[in-house]
Formats: sequence, structure tokens, C-alpha cells
Amino acid sequence: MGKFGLALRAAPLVFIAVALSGWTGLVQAEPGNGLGLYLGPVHSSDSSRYGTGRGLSLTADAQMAINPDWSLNPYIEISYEHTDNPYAIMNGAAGLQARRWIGDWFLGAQFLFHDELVRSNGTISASTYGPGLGFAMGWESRSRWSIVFEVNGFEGQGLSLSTGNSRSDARILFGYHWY
Amino acid sequence: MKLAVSTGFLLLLYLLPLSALADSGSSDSPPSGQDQNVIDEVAKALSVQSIVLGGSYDQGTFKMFNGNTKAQLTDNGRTVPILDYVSPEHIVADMPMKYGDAVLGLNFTGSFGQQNTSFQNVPGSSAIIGQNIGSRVSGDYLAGAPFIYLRLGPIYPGTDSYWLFGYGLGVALWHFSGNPIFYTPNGNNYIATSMPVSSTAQLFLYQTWRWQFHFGHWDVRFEGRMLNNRKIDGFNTSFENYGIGIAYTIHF
Repeated sequence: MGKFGLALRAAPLVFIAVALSGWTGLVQAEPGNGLGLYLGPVHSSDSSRYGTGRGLSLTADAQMAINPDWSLNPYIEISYEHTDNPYAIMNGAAGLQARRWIGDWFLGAQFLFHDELVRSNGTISASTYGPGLGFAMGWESRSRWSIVFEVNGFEGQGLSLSTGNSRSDARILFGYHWY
Repeated sequence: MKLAVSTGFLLLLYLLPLSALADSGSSDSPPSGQDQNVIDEVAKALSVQSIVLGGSYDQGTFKMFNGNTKAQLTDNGRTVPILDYVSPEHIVADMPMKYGDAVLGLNFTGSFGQQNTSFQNVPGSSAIIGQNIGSRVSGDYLAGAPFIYLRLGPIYPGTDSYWLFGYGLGVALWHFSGNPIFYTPNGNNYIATSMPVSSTAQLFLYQTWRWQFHFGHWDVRFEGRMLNNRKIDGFNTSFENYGIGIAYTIHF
């Protein structure tokens, strides 16, 4: 899948989120402090290692409001992905996301550190780790359920700590915050 | 994807100045009394010395190399104790948030660690999982470093809870001994040589990274440590350790 393919695939889900937002009314919610848990599909690509990966991603965060418009969300994230080749991918990340809230919507940018393990024939054949950057957009309902679209680019794309990694990923996350 | 990431950051940068300054002192802030109590809970806990005890599931990797000749052993992951000393916090910078603060803090953190690497990473096999072929290197280290960090909290108002990410740069007194197998490329193959190595307690450069959630006395933490920047018997020698652990903090 091309670079814009991920965005095209996510477009209907973003549209659904917009529609849901309109349906429930414009709630001027403010970000609160609390823990959140998210689950959703992830799609990754790494042309130098495994091609394309698809799987599930689990994210936990702690949202801390700076003011009614901004929050900081440190988070951890793990995903397990199958690929077109006989590899399975386990990717773990820890990062800090800044969110700019516009009503119930937010735009976010994150800095993270990840470790990707490539598993084949029952053993881990490779590991790459390093920093990454990404952005996110999402919507949170008054009942604290939320949907988040997130994309990340990793160290092979100009942030090189380990060689040979050109991973990028995108995920749709459905989650809940306990305020 | 690179274009998408860049576009996202531009959008966020465009929004950046709009609120952070304008909203300071807005009527949305919680009552100052409540805010003061919240700050005290976290700051009070960090204003004294503490000992951190716990357990962690880590993977440690020992490396020696000189040119093309390399030896690498791992412990394949194991449970290890956490034993840290933490000095009182020095606040370098402080930014008030809706509840609590974002603090740039500094302390001194001392750590004790153990190395027990008995699985050899063999060229052509797994890069992570070592093989039990009779080689082993074990040792201990005592490390200390000024530790600078960003902490945000409390997560829930009125509690001693925060998130922290920090980096420490210092020294470690490390000793080890064992019999690693060194591999030297020879055409399409490798020459394997078992050789005893030993180092008395010597100072190594020590770096540590920690990502941590704190609730009450309890911590969940991801931590990385690296000891390097010294040659032993002509070989550049290092030890890396990464793990996730749970720890309990005792203040005194």
C-alpha cells in the first residue's frame, strides 16, 4: 500500500467520526486528567524487512490537561502484526503526545521510542529500535469514548539510530478515558 | 507517510500560540487551594531521599569487539531486582497545568545491577536470542548519575501520581569475568575462539533512560541502562540492559 493508501483507507472512519460528532451535538468538552485504554487495527509497512503488516494495537495513556485547549498524553503502545512474508512483527513504543483540543476534537503530535521485533520460524530474527515522530487526530464523546487516527514514521525516515528500518504505521484506535 | 507526518506537525505548529499563553490565568483554572494541595502531594513525596525496591523483567546484553572480532552474550531475559537510591528533587523549571505541574527536575540516582549473560549470540542465528553453548560472563555494577527528567502530574487531582521520563549520564563501577566466544569473519564462515576475560572493578560511562508511571508508593517503569566507553584486554566492552518493572518507594 502506498503512502497515501493508508490515509485513503482511514478516510471513511474519519468521516464516521465526524458524523458521530454531529449526531451527538457540539459538546464543548474540556480535556480532563485520567487514564485511557485504546484498541484497534494497525497497518504497517517496512519495505526493507517485511513489506506490509496488519494486526492489532493496544495503547494505554495518561492524559494531563494543561488548560482547556491543550493536554499532554504520555502513552505506551504494543502491536502484533502478521505480514505477507513468514514473519510476525511485535512492536512496542513509549511516547509523549501533545493534543490541541478544538471542542470534542483534537490534533496531536507525538515523539516516541520504539522497539520492533521480527519473529520467524519460532525465533526472533531481528530487532530495530529508535525514535519516531507522528501525528494524530481524534474525537472524544461526552461519555468519554473516543476514536483516534494515528500515523507514525520511524528512525529510518531521517531519524537514523539503527540501519535498515523504514517502518511506518497507521492505526485506528477506539478507547475510553477514566476521568 | 513522511509527507503526512510533516503536514500534521505544520498544522499543530500553526495552532500552538493560540491558547497556551492566552489561557494562563483563565477562569477555567481550579480553585487555587485545591491546586496547592495537589502540588504538595507530589512535591512532598519527592522532596526527601528515597530507596526504591522492586523487581523487573530485563534483557541484558554483553558485548566485546575489536575490529571484526566480536563476542556477544545475552541472558535471554530474566527477572532481576531493582535497588535504587534517589536524592531529593531539585526543580529546574516548573509550568503550571490545569491540575498540578509540568516539572523539569533533577536528582541523583544510584543503582545496583547484576549481569548474568550465559547465552551466546551466534552469527547467522537470532539477533536477540542467544544459544547455550557453554560460554558465560557474569558481573555486578554500582552506578550513579545526575538524572534529569520531565514529570507531569498528578494524573488524578489530590493524589501522589505522575508520569516521568528522564535521562541520566554518569559513571558505573563494573566488574565481570567469564569465557565468551569471539567470532572473526573468515570468508563465508567464522572462526570461533573461546577466551577467558576478566575485569576488576573499573569505571565505565553510564547512561540510563526511564519512562515511569508513579501511583502512591508504586512505580511501573521501563528502563534502559548502558555501560560502555572502555577497553578491556584491547576490546571495546559494553553492557546494555532493558526492562519493565514494578517497584515500591520508601521515603526517609
